Amino acid sequence: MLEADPNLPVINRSGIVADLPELSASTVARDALLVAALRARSFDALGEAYDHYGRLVFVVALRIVGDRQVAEEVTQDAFLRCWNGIERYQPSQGTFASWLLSIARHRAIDELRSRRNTESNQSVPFDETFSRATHDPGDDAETRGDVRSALAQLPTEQRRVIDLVYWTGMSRVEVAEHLKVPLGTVHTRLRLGMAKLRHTLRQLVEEP
Amino acid sequence: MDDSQNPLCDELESILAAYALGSEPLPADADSHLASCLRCSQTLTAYQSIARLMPLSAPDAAPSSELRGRILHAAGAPVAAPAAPRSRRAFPPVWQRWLPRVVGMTLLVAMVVWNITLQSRLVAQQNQITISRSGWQTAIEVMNGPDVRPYLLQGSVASGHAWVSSERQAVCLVAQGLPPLSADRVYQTWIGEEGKMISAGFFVGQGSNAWTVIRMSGSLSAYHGITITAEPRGGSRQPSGPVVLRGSLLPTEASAPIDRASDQAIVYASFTP
Repeated sequence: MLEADPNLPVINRSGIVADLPELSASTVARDALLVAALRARSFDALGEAYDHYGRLVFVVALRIVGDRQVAEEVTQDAFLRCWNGIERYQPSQGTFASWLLSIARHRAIDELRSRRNTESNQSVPFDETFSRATHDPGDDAETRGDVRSALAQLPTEQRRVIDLVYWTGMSRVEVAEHLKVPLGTVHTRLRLGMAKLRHTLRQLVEEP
Repeated sequence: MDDSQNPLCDELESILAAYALGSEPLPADADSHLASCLRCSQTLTAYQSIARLMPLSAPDAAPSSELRGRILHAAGAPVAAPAAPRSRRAFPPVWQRWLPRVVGMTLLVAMVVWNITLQSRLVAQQNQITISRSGWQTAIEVMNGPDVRPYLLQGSVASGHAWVSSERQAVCLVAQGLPPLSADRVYQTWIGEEGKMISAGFFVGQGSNAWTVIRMSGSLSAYHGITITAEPRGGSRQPSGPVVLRGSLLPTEASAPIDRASDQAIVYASFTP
């Protein structure tokens, strides 16, 4: 039954029912709100997006480019691309955080490539690789520790290949040239390393 | 089909890993294989999930405190201009040195009084924002609930939607183009059919837009419609004022897609200070 009491709670202009139990907003709901507000060109929403994800975007950029000033430029560029390209974001393809991090990562890798003057034609548009995860990367200390521990448990050569592929955007051929090892060795190290991560992080990894 | 023995799957693993980690595109033949191979499609999903976790392995660091402002400024947000550097002047006569001090003291006293007033206003405003946030969070959760069903509301001037979530036992109403109300009137929401309507609360608009959340303690299926009328402040026991919006809550076979983002923007705009 609906609340039929004639002395119903008065709802104020913000739409609050006084006795409605407060529900904690999920990340998905918060991001849906953020995206809607960004599409409505709200600067407050842009500030809120930065407050939620700015630090994570910055550490990703810093990990890739290795220079604080450049990392800040990449972070700024990523948020501006997000601001100007919010219409291109499709929630069905993944979370807002994944999309934003994909922009930042690809922007940082492009910066890294241009600084090393090794522009590659194999650069992948971020839309193609943008994770189709249905929830956000957890940013709590426990998850962070689990991920770092899982990577630390990998044999050094496997971790090195995964790091080069992810953090520098090198193709397997480029990794083989960089490490001066046969391409088959890179294939094996990458396959074994990812399989071990999949097992170690099974509590965090999505399995359909 | 059982692909557990397919050697192609083993070969594909490093390709899928490179693709998931974002360094290589997926070859066309791999794409077609994925469509028919459960094992490889599961591997890809798992690898993409690992890629999503990789940012968390980066060493923690904080950007400079100015970065937020720079981003907002670059996006075109109105921000305060940076303070101009002070210029040195010649040492002034005695009366000119005392005059600024007297004016400064007067201003200081005035600013202290003003600051106290401002602080109390800020606290009040902060409380209001906190309450508002809990309201819009609820509204957005209802609108994004997995079971939510949107229903169209129509009026002669206004339009709107009722977002019904049985799981959350709540309805979020979002209205646009509401006619202005005089100070002695409110909008009142009614659930049910003509002659058997039950009041579901009051609200006032913000400009021509409004939203509200109605709590339920049972199924909405017994009720076939929602009506919003303009009523005297304090509400009425039965609808007595003009109908502003009306809509059916009966399931329809097909309906036009409803712009959720637009409704969410209305909710968001209401709490932006």
